[in-house]
Amino acid sequence: MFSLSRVASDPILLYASPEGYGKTPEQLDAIKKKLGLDKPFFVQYVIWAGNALKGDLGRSLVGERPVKTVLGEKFGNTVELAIAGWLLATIVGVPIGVISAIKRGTVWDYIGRFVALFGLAVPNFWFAIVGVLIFSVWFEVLPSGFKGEGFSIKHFIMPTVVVGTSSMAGYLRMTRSSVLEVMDSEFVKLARAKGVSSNIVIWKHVLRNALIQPITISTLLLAGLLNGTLVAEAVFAWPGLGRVMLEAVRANDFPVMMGGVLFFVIIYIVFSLVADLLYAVVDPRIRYS
Amino acid sequence: MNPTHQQESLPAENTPNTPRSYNWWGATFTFFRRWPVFPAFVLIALVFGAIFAYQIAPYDPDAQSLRDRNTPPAWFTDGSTKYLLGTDHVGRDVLSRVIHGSRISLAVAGVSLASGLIAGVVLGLLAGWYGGKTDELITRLVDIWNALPFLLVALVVVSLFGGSLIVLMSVLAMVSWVGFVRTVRAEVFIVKNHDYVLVSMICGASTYHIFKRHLIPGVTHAILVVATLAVGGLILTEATLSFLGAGIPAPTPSWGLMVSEGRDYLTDAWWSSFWPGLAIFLTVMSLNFLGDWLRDYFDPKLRQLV
Repeated sequence: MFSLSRVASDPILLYASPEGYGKTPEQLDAIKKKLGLDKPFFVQYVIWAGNALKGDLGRSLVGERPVKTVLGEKFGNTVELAIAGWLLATIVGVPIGVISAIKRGTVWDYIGRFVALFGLAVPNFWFAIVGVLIFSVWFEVLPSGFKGEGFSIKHFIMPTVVVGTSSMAGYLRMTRSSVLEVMDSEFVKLARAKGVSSNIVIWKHVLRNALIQPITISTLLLAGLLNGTLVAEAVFAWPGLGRVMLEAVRANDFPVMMGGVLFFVIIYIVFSLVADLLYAVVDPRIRYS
Repeated sequence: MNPTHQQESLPAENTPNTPRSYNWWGATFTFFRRWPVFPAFVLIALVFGAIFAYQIAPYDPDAQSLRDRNTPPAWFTDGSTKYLLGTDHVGRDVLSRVIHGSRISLAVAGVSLASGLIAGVVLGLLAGWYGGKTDELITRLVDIWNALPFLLVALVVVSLFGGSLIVLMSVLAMVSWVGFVRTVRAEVFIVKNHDYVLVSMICGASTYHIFKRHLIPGVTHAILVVATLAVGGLILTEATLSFLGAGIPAPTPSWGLMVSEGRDYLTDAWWSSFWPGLAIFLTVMSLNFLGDWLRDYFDPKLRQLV
């Protein structure tokens, strides 16, 4: 936790560099002055960081609107998608991981491992396009994007699957190796040797210990998903943060880019903090040591 | 992943089988399970195709033929054997473009991996060997790096400097080094506590000698595993960047870009974005598979470190 608080200030330094490099010569002098680009690179950074600390991220170059509004109004859509993907990853990934570990070496295990390999290797943009092709173009059962007003399950299915697949696979692998590790430990062997039925061993001894890691990691996963919706948003024309960022990148709208990156970094830091706290809550060994 | 393959195949040997005829099916199955036949095949074909792209590819990847545009793959009724995997919206041969695309993928992944590997291994060795302040500094750097939303940063960098081969390679090198640092550092911690390193120090060996004779050979297998897994990730990232329009500029055939171009013609010519995507998928899957296999092969315990 201590390390994380120190991480907080530094990332800004790292990604402030894009602004200083290629941008400055491209702008006309007048615009330069207005945006404060006539000042040296380091001064620009200090001004920006100072404003950011006060909660002012500047204005978007395209719409002249405050960056906070631009990001804020799309944030909800991304959150919906990320949470949906996260639920999918958890609901599907963890049980398959557990089954795959318990029934190691059987057909179930092979299925689980194949799902993991598939999910980690499939390029999600291609997965999305194949999905559109099959379900929207050929069978015409699911819409290919454009979430309108209101809530509709159908619009969520494909983007969710696309967003959730790779994290589901990662989750599955982690759960599997975690369960296998616990199953190999002494106290499980002892419980088995004492003649405890295998169901009780699995539910009481193995799972309670093996699921600690997946549970704590799940917050980090959600943080990763929040910035991992980029591709799905691009394919399904989902009006979320990822699209805002893509448009900002194409239009060289650097206040939005910087604000967005800062936003994602903050999310990541907050969530890893939550993960650390959660770890102490879930695992008593951490608390008492 | 987990069990060593030797362990898995034990039950098969214990089961009573008919001794008279040699069990060909069982032997084949065991062989396929024990050795990474499929990934090796895919990767050899890939490297071969990339090197000899100009000799193998039936057409020039950039040659357009408007009369033949959107021709389906050969086994469809409208397809012709002229274009085995069909043609795209301006009549370029998809097969030739996929073959040529492998050059870009491999070149970008290879170069960025090599530079990331050198940087990561050096930092990992330093952090692991010296510990203390050095270790603190390097580990902190890795933490900060992990907090960055990489895809966005890469997009920003590419949009500022333009999408050229060099820019793409450096951007990807920036992502690949982190994994090496962590693994190498952890391995060095293990290796440096062995007695032979201590003895070597007592005998007056220089730090250079210890690095060369003990540390680097000691971490090589870990590096190999991480590298194999990293190549897959790099190819995937390169393709994603190209797909989002931040890769090598247009006419050059790159897998991610081809998927992106074909997206607008999905109803007429799905094959022009399907095949390059499949190529990415198979390549990355083979690399991951091989990486897992290598990990089990060298040391089952390594799985905890990667």
